[in-house]
Amino acid sequence: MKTKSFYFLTIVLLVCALKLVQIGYKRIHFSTDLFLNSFKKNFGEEHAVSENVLEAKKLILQSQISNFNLSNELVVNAYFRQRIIELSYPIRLNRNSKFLIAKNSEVIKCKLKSESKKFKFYEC
Amino acid sequence: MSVKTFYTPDWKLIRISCFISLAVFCNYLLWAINSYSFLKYFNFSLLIFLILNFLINKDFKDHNYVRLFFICLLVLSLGSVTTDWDARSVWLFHAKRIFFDNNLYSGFDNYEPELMNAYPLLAPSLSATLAKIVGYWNEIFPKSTNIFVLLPALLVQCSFLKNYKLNLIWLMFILLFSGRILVNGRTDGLVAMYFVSNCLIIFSLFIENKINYGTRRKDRKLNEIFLLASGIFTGITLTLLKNEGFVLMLIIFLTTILYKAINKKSFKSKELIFWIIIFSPFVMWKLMTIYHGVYPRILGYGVDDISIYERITGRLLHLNSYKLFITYLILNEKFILSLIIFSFVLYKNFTNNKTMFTFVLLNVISYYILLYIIFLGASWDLEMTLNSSAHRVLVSIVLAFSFFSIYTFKNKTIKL
Repeated sequence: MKTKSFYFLTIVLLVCALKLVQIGYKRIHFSTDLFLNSFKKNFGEEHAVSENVLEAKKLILQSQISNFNLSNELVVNAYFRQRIIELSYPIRLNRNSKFLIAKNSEVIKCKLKSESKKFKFYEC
Repeated sequence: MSVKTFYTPDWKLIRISCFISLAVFCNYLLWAINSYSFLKYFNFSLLIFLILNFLINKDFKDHNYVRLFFICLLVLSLGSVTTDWDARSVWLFHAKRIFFDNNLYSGFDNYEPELMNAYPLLAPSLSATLAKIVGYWNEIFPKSTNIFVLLPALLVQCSFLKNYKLNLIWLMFILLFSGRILVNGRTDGLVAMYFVSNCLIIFSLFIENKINYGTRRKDRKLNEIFLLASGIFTGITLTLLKNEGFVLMLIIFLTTILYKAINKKSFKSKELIFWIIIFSPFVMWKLMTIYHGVYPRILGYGVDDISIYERITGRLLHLNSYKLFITYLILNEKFILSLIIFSFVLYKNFTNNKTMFTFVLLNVISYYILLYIIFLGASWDLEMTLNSSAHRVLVSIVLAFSFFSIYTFKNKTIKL
């Protein structure tokens, strides 16, 4: 009876352990670095969003504004639009804002305030 | 002399679960009434104290696997960033808004309306409180409070299973069937767990009535109050997690009424008060959203201009809709596996658990039918909608099937 119970426990615990490992490493990309720094300010942004979004956020933060607008090319990119809204909050996306983020390749007839590798920040 | 079998849940677990869910609800309530910050922090400290009490108190030494399970989920949640679309753009974004604007109703300005500003915000409000205590925001720790919200539901379930082997099997099923959605910041896993807990409590309280509340009179009274309170708080939590949670609670309520009507049982005033308390916070939230012009973006809103009726009939006449429904709502491996387990247990134990099987099936089938209606009327492309959400909404059914399959093997009973 005891042996049966032992086998049962071993099997169930093994399944649980394997599943936890699978969830951790395959499904949610668990990292000990993230765990150890989980309460650090702004930590993990580079893991959560793409480099483009981080670059755009940096431009927005440097400009010390309360709202911004996205160029037509950027606004149709659902991923970029969504992530920049989340990441830059409390600075808000506003379609009437005079501050505009655009791709470097876009031609915008506004005053260039600052730029990064991929983006330009304009005041219109 | 008639012999009736009574079941004894673990009352210590019920009590701690009741206190934890009370603290979770109080956090929401304090945000809702815009109370002083120190009260929210005090309540949160109390919540941490209760959780620590469960983790280290010798009274719960029989539940070491549950403790370990909770810690593992917490570690997984704290060791991963929030990348999931809904988790980021709906739940964590609302938590971030509450944190920065210091206001539960910040979504009422309707900023970015496609981000579901009308959703109830019980889980995000707890994340916001933790962020307030920490003092800043990041992409990792705020979602970990979902594991705190999960704990009362889990404790209620385990308290009824009693036997540690059954507990362990249940924990294994939770991991196998819901796993990732419990730790990635979404609320679908929480909804599924609370659906199971609410079915269980309401079945035990109002349908089966076979609970042994204790031998001493004082204990009996106290335990009954704790189970009732636990039912109220898990019910409120389910309705305030997500609109879908409210629908599930409504299904449980209607099923209870139906069951009582069929069996010619009376609906006591105590039960009426119970249900009124459960639905009140959700109704109040919805009235406030309507007052502020924030409406749920569900049926009737979308990318086309056709009515729901036209959309449903159009899809019913289209063969491809049936293929999609079979693929996503029937041929889901977790759904099939849980259905096989449930069918096997039903076949084996039906005579002893007739009432329980009927109650669970009534709830699950009602929800399953409702899913088809909702998907038929969904405003976005059917395949896209099913692909992104069918597996998440099916988890409630999958967990209900698996839990109640194990529940029929409860063995710590006494005959009075």
